[in-house]
Amino acid sequence: MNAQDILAMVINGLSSGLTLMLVALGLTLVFGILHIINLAHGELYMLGAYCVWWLSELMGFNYWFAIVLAMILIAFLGVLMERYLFRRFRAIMVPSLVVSIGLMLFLQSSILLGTGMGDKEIEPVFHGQVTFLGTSLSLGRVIIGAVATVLVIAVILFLKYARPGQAIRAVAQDAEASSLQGISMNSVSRLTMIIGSALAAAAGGLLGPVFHLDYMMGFPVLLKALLAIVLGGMGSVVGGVILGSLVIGLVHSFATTLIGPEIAEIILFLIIAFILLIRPSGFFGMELRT
Amino acid sequence: MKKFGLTLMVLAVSLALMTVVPFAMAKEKPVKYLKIGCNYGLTGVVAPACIASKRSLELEVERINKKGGIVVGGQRYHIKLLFEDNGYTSEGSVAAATKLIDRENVKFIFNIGTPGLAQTSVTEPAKVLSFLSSSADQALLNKKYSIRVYPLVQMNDIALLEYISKNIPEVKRVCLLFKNDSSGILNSQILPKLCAHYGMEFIGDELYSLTETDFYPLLARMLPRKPDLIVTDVGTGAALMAKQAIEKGYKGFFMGTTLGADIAWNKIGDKVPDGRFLGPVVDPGSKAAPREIREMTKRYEEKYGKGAPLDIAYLYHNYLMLVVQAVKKAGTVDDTDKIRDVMVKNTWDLPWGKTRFVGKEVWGVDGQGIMPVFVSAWIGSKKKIKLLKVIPAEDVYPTFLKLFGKK
Repeated sequence: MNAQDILAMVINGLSSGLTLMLVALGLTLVFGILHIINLAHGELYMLGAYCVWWLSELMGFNYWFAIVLAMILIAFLGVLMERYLFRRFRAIMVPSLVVSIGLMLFLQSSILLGTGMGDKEIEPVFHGQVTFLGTSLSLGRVIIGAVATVLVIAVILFLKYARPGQAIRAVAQDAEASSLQGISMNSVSRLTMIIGSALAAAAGGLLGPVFHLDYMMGFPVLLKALLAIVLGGMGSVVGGVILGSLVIGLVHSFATTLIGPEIAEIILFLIIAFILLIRPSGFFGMELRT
Repeated sequence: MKKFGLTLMVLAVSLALMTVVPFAMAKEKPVKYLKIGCNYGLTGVVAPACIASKRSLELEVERINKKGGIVVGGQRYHIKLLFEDNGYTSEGSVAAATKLIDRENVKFIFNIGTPGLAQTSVTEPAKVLSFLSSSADQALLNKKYSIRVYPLVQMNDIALLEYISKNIPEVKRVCLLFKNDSSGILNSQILPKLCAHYGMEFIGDELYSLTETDFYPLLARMLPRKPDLIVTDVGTGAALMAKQAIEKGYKGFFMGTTLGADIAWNKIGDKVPDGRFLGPVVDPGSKAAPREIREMTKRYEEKYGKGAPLDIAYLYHNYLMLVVQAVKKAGTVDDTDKIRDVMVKNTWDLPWGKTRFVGKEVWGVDGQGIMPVFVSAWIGSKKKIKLLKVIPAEDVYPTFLKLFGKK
């Protein structure tokens, strides 16, 4: 193995980690505020991809406009989910899990019935490859990585400097104290679902032209996003999700390349289990506890 | 005189009617039904292919019945297809086969894909003929009532690699990147031997998960070994893999080892330069396809429009025509021992070509019908499948026996 092989593994890992970050960020935000694990979050990613497919391939909208529209539509769906399903189960783990599983199956079946069995494809917007120090990857992936980074930075800045963002952080740290300060829990929950759903939709729409669309595409992504936020520290937004996602992407890339795809997943889980044994709250779990 | 003539005429007509009508009535027995069970995955992962096969079989049966059906042992039969959905699962397949046998008393069951293996646990003891399309040895191994007239993965691989070794000499290094299913495992077992036989180097295999979408890490593992040919499946995963391999700078060939839907061929073929994706497939509507298949495709498209999956939709016409011809020759529709004997001891003109049965030395039973293999390449710029060569079964089977003989 030479330096170029290692570089290829790093680039592959970063490229998948960056997009995973978008899904994981929404998931961790929802967990931090509503204290529920929304297992239907992967379906928001799937719906985002289908929405972009529907808007750009069938309706003829511009791809980027379709992504923005999909983010708005899925964010609206997120608001409905928060208002009518999750709000009443806030911080009640088991019933909320059951509700989210039901929702996941409902959304999958709806897409299957609505669009049929066959896989769908979004026509790639960017063609060609980029070669970086001898390692080539598609231009599409580079652009997606860049857009994902911009979105993540935007969310981080929003959480840090905007008043609604600060309210989200305050509620994540101490919901009761925030309420006493006049922060509306319901508004913050709604806003969190809007951000989380829109980010998931953006990830789906961005990855649509790179992969193919099928109604089950949400679950594998959800699984990795869950791993990323467990690794980063449940509810931790900035450091946790970013580090967790990148570690997942890199470990998967290195394990698949060096050992093979059959046991890459096992290696991934073993490494995460090992890290959690040493640091049960994940990399940044302390943030949540404090 | 005139009155006498009229009376005579009426008498003659009456006499004639009295003689002919009872005779005719006695000769034309009421039509019976020859029931054929179709244990299909009408839902599940292969639903599009199964639905297309169902439609095309129904069209063919409608045509046969319109012509008066078939006569077996002096009795006229119309064919009746009974479809049961197995959801493309083993348990669904057993349940559907049980229902077809117990409730409908069928003697013939068609089954598409791997769930057919499970069906044999019910059909063997009931002496019901199972018509299967799984390449696994278990489909036939010592199973008297299993029949397979389907191009095995092994035979497809032999035909394709033989063609490649003779016509594309630059292919020297071969690898396998395949979905992690029974076909993938089978290919990983047979390809090293096959490559050695054809003077190629097998440089490794990787089986990926059915849900895999990001093949960059896998390709980073395989491409540095510099393959000239990537053997793969015809699923959407393979299409993504091919696309990503090209993004990573791969310039060699791809080879699909099984028949497939045109959707998959489009998806994979469109990603690679013209002529670089080869497979054992033929466009059933093209001149390259056998005449009967072309006509079936025409009828299918007249009724359902374009978009039938490729040849896989028509493969089961081999079984339909085999049953039709064999029951006629055997003179019975119930005695499956006799029908099976007739089937395996004769050569048949089936839609895909002349077919004879072999396999006793391999599986202990001679239930494998061998048919020609169509070697084709996808021409993406024209959205067409170009037939490169038809390799007769007689050329493929000896190599198969030599390399993968007794089980």
